[in-house]
Amino acid sequence: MIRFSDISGNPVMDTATATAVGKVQAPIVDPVTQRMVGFRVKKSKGPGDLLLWEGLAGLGPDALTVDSAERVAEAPAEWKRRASGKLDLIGRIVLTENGHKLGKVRDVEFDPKDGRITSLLLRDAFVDGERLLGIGSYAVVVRG
Amino acid sequence: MTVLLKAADLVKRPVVTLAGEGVAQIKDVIYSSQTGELAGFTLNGRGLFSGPMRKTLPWENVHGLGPDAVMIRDESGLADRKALRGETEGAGGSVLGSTVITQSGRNLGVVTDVILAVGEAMTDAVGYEIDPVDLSAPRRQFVPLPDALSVSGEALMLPDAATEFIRDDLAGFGAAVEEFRSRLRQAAVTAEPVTKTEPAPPAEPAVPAEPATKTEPATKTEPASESTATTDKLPVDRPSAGEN
Repeated sequence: MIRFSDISGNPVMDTATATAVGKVQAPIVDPVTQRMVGFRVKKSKGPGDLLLWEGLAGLGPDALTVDSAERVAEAPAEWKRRASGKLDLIGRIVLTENGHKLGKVRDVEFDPKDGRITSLLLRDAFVDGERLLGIGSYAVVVRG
Repeated sequence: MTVLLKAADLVKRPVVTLAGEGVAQIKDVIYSSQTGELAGFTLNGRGLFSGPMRKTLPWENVHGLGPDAVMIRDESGLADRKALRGETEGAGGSVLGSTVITQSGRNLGVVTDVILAVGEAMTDAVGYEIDPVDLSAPRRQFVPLPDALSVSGEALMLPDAATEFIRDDLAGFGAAVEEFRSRLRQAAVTAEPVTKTEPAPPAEPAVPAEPATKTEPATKTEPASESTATTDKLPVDRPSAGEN
């Protein structure tokens, strides 16, 4: 398992040209499948700023790699709103489905093999990734 | 974990879908005009300057009600205004402003708010905040509610036992409600034996202690005071009824 904070700000390297095409800015998470959609990339040299999980060539401790700068592209229609930055996970408050506030998301831990979210890290609590119900503009909602 | 909160504290609380979208905030609490229970909420839009919304939130569509938000499954949980027509809103309602009177006829005060017990999964109206008639009492008191009560537009009737469980602050009120309700439940269970034993005493001298002497030797060494008491009185009742 790795945490997003471990790779936040790391360069995204193009393996074809051996140049950096951007830096990892934010994780994009799908609450329905509880998996990583991909990463938002800042200072992108590609056509957009979303790097989809499927477009990753490698996810190492010091860099993410892609086979072409084209991989960092415009978000497809289905992810447009989720990738826009208005629904970012980190920093959003966490509510249970019964209306109890648990805190704010500090970090997110995921499986580097398949992008499955294993837990949300709050200031003084962990929330199991499987409890994720929704990530909206107001809050992250978790089961229980 | 159960939290007690005042219904009025729900006002301005956000209404959030399970997808995490804030769709409204609570404008006012609506009580059912028949039962005095929570019927639902009227809503304001979100944001500082947003006005009232056309939609309302019926109680049955509330997924979870917590100290930090009112949760609904999705936006289809909001109903239009007609859903709560006929129910009464906020201060004009049948509950707030009603006089609380005990069954023996003592006026306790006027209801100023409803106390909800919010658990992990369910919410229940457990008491009223009242403005007491008694001027020497604190400005605010909390009276417990029985599991069910009848409400008219004029007054709320509470059992006399409720006066013993009036509290001045919410801290100990949850336990008081529990105790009050368990007392009422016990009273309901023992209500029938009590009414039977009351007519029994005049019959006791008339009937000699024969049934008692029959049972006593059998259970003499046992601490059978309870069992003999009940078995004694039942046979006592029947001959007395026959004599009269």
